[in-house]
Amino acid sequence: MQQFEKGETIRLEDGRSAIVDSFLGEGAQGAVYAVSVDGQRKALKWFRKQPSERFLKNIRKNIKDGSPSPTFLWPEALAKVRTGGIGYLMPLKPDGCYEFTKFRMAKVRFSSFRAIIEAAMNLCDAFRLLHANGLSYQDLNDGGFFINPNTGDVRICDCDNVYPHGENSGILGKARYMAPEVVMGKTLPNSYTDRFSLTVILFMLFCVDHPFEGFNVIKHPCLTEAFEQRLFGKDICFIFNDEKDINRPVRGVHRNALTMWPLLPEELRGKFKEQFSDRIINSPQERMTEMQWVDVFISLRDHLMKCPHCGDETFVYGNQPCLNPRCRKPIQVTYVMEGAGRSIPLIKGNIIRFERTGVPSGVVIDKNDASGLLLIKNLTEKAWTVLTPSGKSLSLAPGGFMPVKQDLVISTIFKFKINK
Amino acid sequence: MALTDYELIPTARRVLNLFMMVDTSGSMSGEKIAAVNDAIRNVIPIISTINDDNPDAEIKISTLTFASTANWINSTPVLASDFKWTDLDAEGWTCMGDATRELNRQLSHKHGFLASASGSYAPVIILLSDGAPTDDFYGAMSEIMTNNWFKHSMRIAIAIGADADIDVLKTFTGNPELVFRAQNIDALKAVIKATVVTSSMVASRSSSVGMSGTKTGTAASGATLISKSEEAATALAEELDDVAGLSVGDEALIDSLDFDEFD
Ligand SMILES: [Zn+2]
Repeated sequence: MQQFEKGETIRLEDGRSAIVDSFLGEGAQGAVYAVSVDGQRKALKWFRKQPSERFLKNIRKNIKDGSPSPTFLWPEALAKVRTGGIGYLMPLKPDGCYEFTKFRMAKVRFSSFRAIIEAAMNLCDAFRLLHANGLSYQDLNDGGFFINPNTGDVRICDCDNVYPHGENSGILGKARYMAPEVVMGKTLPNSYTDRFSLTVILFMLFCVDHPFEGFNVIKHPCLTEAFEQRLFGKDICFIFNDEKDINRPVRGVHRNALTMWPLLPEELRGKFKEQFSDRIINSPQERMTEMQWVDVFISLRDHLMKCPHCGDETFVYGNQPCLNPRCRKPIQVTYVMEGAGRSIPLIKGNIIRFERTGVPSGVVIDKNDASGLLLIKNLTEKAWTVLTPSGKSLSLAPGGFMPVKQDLVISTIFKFKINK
Repeated sequence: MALTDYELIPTARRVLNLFMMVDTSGSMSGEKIAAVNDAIRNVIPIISTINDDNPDAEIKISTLTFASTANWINSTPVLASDFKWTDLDAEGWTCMGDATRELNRQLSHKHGFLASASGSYAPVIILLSDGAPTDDFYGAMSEIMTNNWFKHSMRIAIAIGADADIDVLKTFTGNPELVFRAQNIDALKAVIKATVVTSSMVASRSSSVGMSGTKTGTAASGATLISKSEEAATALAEELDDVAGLSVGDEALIDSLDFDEFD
């Protein structure tokens, strides 16, 4: 229900004022308005029901402590009106970001694997920082995210439920996203159960279907609450579980999972299989941390490049064929660059990204003569130190070239060695 | 072939069937049936939005009217976004027993309205009546109580005016907290909107787990699955607590001394 009209002024607790611009929409808890504060565009969430004192105290603390990452649409100031009612100011979602539920409904689609990988990394990074600050999101599910389908930029809203570890807001979450040990009532949410929920979301980013919805779930014509609790608790089974085939995706129903799963590199599929195996499901403390997931996505990004035959985006591992069903040509990799636990295939056109942020550090080109030799161009603004097999140390200036040659070592933030 | 060239479909959604059982007996004629028509017409776009934005469920609507006979308005459940409301007229007896039998017949996966490749959630059934059944309602109830779809459904009843038989509605819902008595036209419109919206929202989501307050069956962590009927009852009580002319649950049993617009 729209309560404020355009032009209305609402006083914020920090002394500033928000001028209402437009009504953006309504969620379960309240309405959201676009407002302007000191000329800056912001969002104002207004609660439908008066929240509890504990809830407000917690928001005030979160406002004071500040956001762990710009990915969160973090509360910035509380606002009250004399007639009763309360809300808070937060950053406005950038244009071009859409609700994750729209991706699930195939109304919005990622334009590339690169964008999916960026989105996955952004999510992991945000939750890593949140957890590092001693906080937990509590109710991690498919609502509450906005993603830019072209860049993978992510914004996380509903941050008013962020509480310190060990405390909780009352509602523990949605059955299909909660760790089975929470569904079964064995434990309250904690960082290990958050990691389970995050892995469910990561799977959905890539496969656009739910990792535990297969035959074993849809064979029940009526998903009663008791069934739901069992199928996402005690009897939970990954649709691509290697040991059990009781819950395989069903043709015609779980089409997205069947389409996307074969396109993913074994490196990623293996992680999902492992994380959703009975062993890890039953050993929450062994679940991958956000940091370990980021490493997986960095590696995926290292192997994602343009096919030299057809120009399409494809994952390059060893001499595997291109993903494009109309190409399927093997992509020959002669040299790789190894270091920091990574292995970057050096094929023509590949962009090398040393840094986690993904800014291009170098590009592989061919020498354009009969030699067939590949070169690497330094795209950074700093000189690289290149160590030769004979022990020389050379400096490669920004914009300079070096050959792709066995045993050369590039020393930047990490050391990378060229190998066959 | 770019990533966007692979065909993706909306993620498989379970169906949430919303049944509206509307009393169209003679006593409903005039402003009561007009208010029902108006309220449902206004609530359809909201349900349509809930359906469009919900990756968990697609909402389908079936309307069963009952007067001297029980009739389905559509021959199969209609997706909320395609649903068109046709104004109902009121005339005849109150064959609520017939309606319950007809509902029982269609609450079936194999032979009824509930076939779905990706499965269904337990249905929501909203019953509106202003009178007492003129046929064998309790006989029909004992039959439908063996239907598992019915047993697991979320049922809400709206009593219109003072003459509605609250005991009958309590028997139907199995939960006095999900019986609402509307004493005037505004309360009736408000309660129709709130019950349709709230029940669709609650029933079309995955179950929630919350901290067990006073509930029994506490697990080790103190966390427990919140029953959807209970969740809907709480949400409706909150939503409707300031609507004038509305009584809920046991309150609805007390013969109201208020001025009754319907008389
Ligand atoms: Zn190719």
